[in-house]
Amino acid sequence: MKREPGIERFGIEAMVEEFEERLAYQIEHKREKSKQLFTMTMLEYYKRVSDSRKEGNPLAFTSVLFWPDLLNSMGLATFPIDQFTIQMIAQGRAQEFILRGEEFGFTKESCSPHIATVGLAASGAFPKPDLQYVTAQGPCDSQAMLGEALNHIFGNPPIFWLNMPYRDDDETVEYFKEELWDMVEFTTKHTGLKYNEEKLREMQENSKICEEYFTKYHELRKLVPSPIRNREAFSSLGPRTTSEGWPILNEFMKVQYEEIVDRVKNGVAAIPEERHRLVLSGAAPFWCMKIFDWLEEEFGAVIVVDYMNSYARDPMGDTSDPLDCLARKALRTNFGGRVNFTPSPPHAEYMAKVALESQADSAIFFAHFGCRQTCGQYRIIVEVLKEIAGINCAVIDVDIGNPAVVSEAQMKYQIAQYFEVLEASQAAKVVKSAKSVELPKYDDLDGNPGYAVVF
Amino acid sequence: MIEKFRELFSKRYQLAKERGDQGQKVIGWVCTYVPEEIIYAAGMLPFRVVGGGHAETPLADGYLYTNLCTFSRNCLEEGLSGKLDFLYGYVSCNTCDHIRRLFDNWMKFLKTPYTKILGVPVKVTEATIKYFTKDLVHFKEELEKIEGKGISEEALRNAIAVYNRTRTQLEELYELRKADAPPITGAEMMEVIRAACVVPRDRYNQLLEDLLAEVKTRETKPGDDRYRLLIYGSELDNPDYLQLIEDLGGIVVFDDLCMGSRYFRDPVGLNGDPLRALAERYLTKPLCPRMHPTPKRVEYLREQVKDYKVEGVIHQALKFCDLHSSQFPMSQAMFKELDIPVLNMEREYAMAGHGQIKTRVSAFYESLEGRRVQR
Repeated sequence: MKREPGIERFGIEAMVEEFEERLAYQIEHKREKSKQLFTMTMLEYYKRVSDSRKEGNPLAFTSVLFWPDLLNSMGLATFPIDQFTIQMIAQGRAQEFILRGEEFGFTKESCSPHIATVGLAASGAFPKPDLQYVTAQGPCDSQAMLGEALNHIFGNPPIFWLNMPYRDDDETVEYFKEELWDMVEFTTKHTGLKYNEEKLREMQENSKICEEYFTKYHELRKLVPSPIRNREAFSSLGPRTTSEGWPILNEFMKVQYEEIVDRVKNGVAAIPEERHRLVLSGAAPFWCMKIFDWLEEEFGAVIVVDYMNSYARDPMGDTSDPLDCLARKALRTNFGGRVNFTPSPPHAEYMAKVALESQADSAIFFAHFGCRQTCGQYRIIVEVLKEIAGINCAVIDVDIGNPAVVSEAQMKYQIAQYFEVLEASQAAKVVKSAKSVELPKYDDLDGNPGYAVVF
Repeated sequence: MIEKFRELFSKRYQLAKERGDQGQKVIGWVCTYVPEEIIYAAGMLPFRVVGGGHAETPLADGYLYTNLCTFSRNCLEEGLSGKLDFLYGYVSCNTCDHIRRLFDNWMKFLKTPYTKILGVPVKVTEATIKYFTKDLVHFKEELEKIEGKGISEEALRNAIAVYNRTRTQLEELYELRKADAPPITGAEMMEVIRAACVVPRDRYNQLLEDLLAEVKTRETKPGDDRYRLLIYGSELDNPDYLQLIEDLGGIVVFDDLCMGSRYFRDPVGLNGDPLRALAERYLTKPLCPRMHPTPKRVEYLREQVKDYKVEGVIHQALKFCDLHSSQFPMSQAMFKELDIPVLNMEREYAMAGHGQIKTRVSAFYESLEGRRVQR
């Protein structure tokens, strides 16, 4: 792949440098430990990818919701390529690559991070992968076609299609173990790397701890007032996508949880005056994460339930057969398994029940232009939220990666109208934090607006 | 003769309702990965759900957001408007994001007594065939429960034979299209195939046999100079679309459409466990882009270009169809290698924009004519 001039500013090495700078800034300015650990986790991951290339080891492209444990346990570095693009989007650096992706021929109506990923690849931002692993049909068709497009762009490197089954019963777990084993054999065939049961077990043990912290952390959002800020709620998705099973991730998850527990003990809420407890569904506009700060500031709205974190799942089980454990996790525990491959009504019902438990009073559904998966269930979510939790939901047009589709002002206008109507129909209750706290500006926290993102 | 197929399709609701009134359960199905044979073997009537071709879908728009394809919204419109109330069942697959969410909405908001979604794997391996076979076992068991009687292996084998007969005859018709002067047009072929999806199969097979005999005796013009076209892409079930293209001077000699060759191609094997044979056939039949990897499909298209002596290719994709639209650059690259011109058209499910289609197709034919002259 020919590298276009200046493209090195957008590559993996550039990301390593950026996270190094960010960490230095956070240490110097004594940012919270969890924020430093977030950066350290991401930095360790990017170094893993970068070093793999430098040392001549194989590199595998994967995607969001492709948990890295199995391949990492075999010694294969994984690079969830669309996660990288989402990070770029959050930093406002991907716009030109959307146009480049459309130029390649990837449909302009598709999910913008995928279009931008094609654009980045076609511009030479990424090294050629030795292998590709793609899940289908989850999270979505657009992602599957991204896998195909990248395979074409990079000259058809060996590709493994991980079929994500629709069902998640025991019969399916057995089948999915076979799928994972096929993946192991494919990897061994193309890299010589062997299945390492002990290492995978260790990573599953780590994953189990991570999952426990994740669950406990999000349980805290049920407290009134909520101790977790809007953007903080999404901060584990990126690290989990890139580093599931690695010790540093657990350290981040643990410290992040403990910091929130401390807030609770000290009577500190997420924001000084909580007026609305919000359910967030659909896909968030990654390019405009500051809209979540605006929700806090303008309406005292704290997200207590959301599509990416609030889903029914089983706790992780026995790790004695780590492949079995991973199969169960992929189908029954993690985000991809529950939300994207199962029928939406049960998911909507679960979310509505959590909304009820969380005393939510408001809801926003972000209808992302490029996403059929989420938009195809908007009515179900709207109806079920009303039926079970008595909440009226606003449907807001967005594009998660492309500001040209729906602007910040348009989104804000629609949201403001919703709250205006909502507040007119209810006497908004104000829940004050026990201690008066200054609402910090996110952009100042770490010197980079892309901090709290998400995948 | 073709008129008969058209008429049967246009009266499909009435005909299916009559069957329902007579006590036969009508099972709606969506997407060509649903094995009709199992429904037939259960003594039920398989009935393909397609849209009504409405330019507007006011009811469905309230359920499926505007960025879902107009095919799925048209199907839901038929359901919400009560036209499909005669259905006892609605069977779908996880074909694509649109169809999966169509199923979710159908299940949640419509009162069809039986709903089922088959989890069709996205690739073909021994493990996926085995797993899909299990899905079909569950499907069969559920139909048995509804009817209160078992579906015997013999009934399944008989159903396979009946459906294979359709496949053989349709394949014969496709063979005839390889001729220098094809005796049947693309629009006619689509009339024939879409009737297959809704007319009771025994009656249909007889009609098809008669048609085959008739087409074989058709006189063809020597020196047929119509442009030989291959059309492929998203769900397209309106023969008028092909008619419009053909009226301008072309003839569709091959299609890769789910209301075309992807519906019937490749018979079901007759040996061994019939459900396993069905799973194998439905996973290995000509692929749509929801099956991976893409290069396999691209190679298949390359072969068809050669077999059917194709001069030009028309790719049509429904707006918001991620699978077909995003696969286009890969297949386009292959056609480029073969030096075959490609016309790429975006469309909505309902027939619209005749003028624009005419202009673009005419310009495409001019480029094909230019190439003929150069050669």
